[in-house]
Amino acid sequence: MNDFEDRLRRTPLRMAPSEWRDQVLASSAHRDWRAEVWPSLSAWAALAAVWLLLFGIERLTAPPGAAQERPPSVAIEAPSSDSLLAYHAALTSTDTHHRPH
Amino acid sequence: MPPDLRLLYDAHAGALFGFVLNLTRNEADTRDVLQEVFLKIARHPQQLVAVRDARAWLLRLAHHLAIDRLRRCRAGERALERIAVEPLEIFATSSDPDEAAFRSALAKALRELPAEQRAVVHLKLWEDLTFVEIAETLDIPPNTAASRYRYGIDKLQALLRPLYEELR
Repeated sequence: MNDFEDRLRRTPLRMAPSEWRDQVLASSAHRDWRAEVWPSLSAWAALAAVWLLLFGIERLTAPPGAAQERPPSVAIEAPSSDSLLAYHAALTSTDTHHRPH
Repeated sequence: MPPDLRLLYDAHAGALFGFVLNLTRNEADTRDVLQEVFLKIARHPQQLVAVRDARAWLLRLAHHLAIDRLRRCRAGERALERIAVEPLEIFATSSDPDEAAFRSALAKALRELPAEQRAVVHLKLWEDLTFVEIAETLDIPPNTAASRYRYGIDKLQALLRPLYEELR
């Protein structure tokens, strides 16, 4: 290495901007979970296998004809305005009788 | 055991930054390449576990990514125009006017070199790699690395001789 090359080598390079550190590391960490899941065939295959297993168990353990049965629907009747008024009147009269004089 | 990205960054980001900036001559591209390098490590940490020389491996990866990026940019005819118009300081600033002038002239002279010569010159001068190590990093034969270095240095010397002689 001659003098000229040595002179070049002693010329210091710029440092990377300090704010890049967090940006670069954050972007690596941010996309990491997708990188782990999306291209992983084994992860998706395992998920599909579990789903099929659960589906199969459910089919095997269900009683025959259960799929066609529907649970009876429960109708919840709203109280009529008359019954609400009567209830309110009863409460008011009770309150009046028990109020201390 | 997966590598600690923070430790890797602190140990090697300076070298990667200088090398990629010298290749791409563009800060945004340099940052993108750095992000890609660390993203690849985060995705495939096992690749780095068996590596003997992490610095050389990272420089090699950064070189591949930078060249890919330059090719894409050239396809869009953006890179050459950008290199021609963008003044870019790749060296540290200096308060000494003579030294500042030399650094600025050196940055300009480096820009005149083809990217493949610039890569070899950079790795030899500022990373202190041997021609064999440079050859492994850049996927070229050692003789090619040596000849590219010699051509690059000759051109730099021709471009910088007046200023270099004046400052000696």
